[in-house]
Amino acid sequence: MQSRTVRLGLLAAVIVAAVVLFIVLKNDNSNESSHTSKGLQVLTVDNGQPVGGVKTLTYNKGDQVELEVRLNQPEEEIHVHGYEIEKPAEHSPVRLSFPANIDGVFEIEVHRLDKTEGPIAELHVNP
Amino acid sequence: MRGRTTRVVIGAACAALITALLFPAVASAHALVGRKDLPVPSWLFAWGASVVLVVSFGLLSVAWTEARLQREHWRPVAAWLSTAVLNPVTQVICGLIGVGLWFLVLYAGFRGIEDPTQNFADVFTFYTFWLGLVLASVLLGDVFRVFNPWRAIGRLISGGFRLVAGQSAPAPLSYPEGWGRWPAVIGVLGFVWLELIEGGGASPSPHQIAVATTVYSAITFACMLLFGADEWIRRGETFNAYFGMFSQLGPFEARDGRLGRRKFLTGAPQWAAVPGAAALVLASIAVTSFDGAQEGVFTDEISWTLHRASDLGLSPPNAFRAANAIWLLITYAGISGLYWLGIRGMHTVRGSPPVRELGRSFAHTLIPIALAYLVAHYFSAFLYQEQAQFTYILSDPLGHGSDLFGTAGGGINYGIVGSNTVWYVQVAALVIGHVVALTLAHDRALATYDDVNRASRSQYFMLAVMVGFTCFGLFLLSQSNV
Repeated sequence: MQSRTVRLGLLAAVIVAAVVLFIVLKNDNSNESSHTSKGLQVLTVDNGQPVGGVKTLTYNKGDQVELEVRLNQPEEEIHVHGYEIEKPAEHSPVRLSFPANIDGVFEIEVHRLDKTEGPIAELHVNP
Repeated sequence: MRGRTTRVVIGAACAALITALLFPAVASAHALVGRKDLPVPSWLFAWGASVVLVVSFGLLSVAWTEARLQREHWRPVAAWLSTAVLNPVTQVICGLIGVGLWFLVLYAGFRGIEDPTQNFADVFTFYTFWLGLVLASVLLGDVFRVFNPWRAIGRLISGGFRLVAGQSAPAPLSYPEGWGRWPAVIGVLGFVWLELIEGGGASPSPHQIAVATTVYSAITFACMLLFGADEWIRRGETFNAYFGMFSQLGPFEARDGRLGRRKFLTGAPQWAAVPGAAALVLASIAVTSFDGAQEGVFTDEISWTLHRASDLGLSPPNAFRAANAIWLLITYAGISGLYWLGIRGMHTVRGSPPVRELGRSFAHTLIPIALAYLVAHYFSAFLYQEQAQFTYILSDPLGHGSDLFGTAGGGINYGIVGSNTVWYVQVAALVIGHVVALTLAHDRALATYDDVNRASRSQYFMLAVMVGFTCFGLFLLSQSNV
């Protein structure tokens, strides 16, 4: 009696595990996280808004992040969360260069002169 | 008979998983925290989910046949230890600390800097208090009880009244039995409304936290007057009920002024015998899920609802509030629906008690899952925010530039835990919570049904429910990890 339960149980486990693996592997095809950003990345900010939406920049830990933020008007600063990099942004372009030495997801924000702030890119650093 | 039930269960488990997997995928942002976690990688998700299934069925097949966790064997610890922990002096000191922190939240909220990351009110309320006390409750027992500022103030006032009038103040009303833990359910939803929704798209401002604290305190004091101070704190006060729920998993509990210990988990089975118990633990799971899904799997749905709300003429913050409140309630309904569906399934087993009673009697088995969800979702954020709490927030609680303890220059080291550690802790928490929940459910089934076979059969349904919860938790983490 009990061993039948075990067998059925294992069978169920295998079936569901297979379903999970199948769906996950299927999703993996559309997953672009393995492509990392290389070289100088340019972000354009018009009137405090990122042109083309909030871009995701992906790096592997240890890579050098090279960013150029082009602005059409003076802003207060560009702020990289987590790394706590704050660069004054009175003049365009603003250049940022730092090693990606903390893994995780970090927001890059523009702090505007009117004291509001908004995301312009998302930094993904893979471990 | 057994074969048919098994097939039904396998079907249900697969259905639950597939529904979970069909949710759309997006990614996103948390407000107070500078670093967010990368989503749990697909392979780890698949691995975690498979382990959950294999372990679940394995556990059922080797499980014991007589209930072992239903009696708690609470035993007092040595008298000197009990006295050292629970004497009137420590009670007064802890009460004073609680009232002091409560006052500081109000003061920092009304008078401090408006930047939530720099203000004591936000960091303390949402991390040190809301998450830290859950951890402390599991490890040390119901510690919030002695720090509870509302209880301390209530005791002071009723003590003063006794001194002047020579007798206790009579409570005008008795606490309605049917209310049970429902006031706490409303309180938990309200707290999470404040944390995730009230800010209208941003973190709640310290001012909003102070206002909410004032409103909650006013309601609490009014209810203490109506139903009696001790009675309301014991049964109706949200945080007492919420942290008390988690303390049931741990070994320590004070009774009649004496500290005692029991076996792990044996406190939980008694906890659920009150109306609203299931609703409270489901609310905890739902609000954590909502936090994980708000800027992850539900982003598109919420923004769609937000646009409809804007079309109706709501201002942007109000449209945000309306859309998120709707999705919070949908999450709660979905989580509750899954649980009650499992209970209905279980009810088909011969010899089951009525559905409502059955649902209540298994409510405590979800506490480990609620705890696992909290650990999985907040572990890294908690580590970061506690660094803030004990460096710059400690020395400069108002954000006005003071440096009380010389730690104002400190900051958060986001390198303290790497993504790999975070992922493993998250998956391990969910898997362990799942196993503990199944253990509690199996034990309760043995106590509920007079026959071991029926007990095991009833547990296929519980197993489907819990596999659903755990895989949904894993899925949320694999989509966006904020």
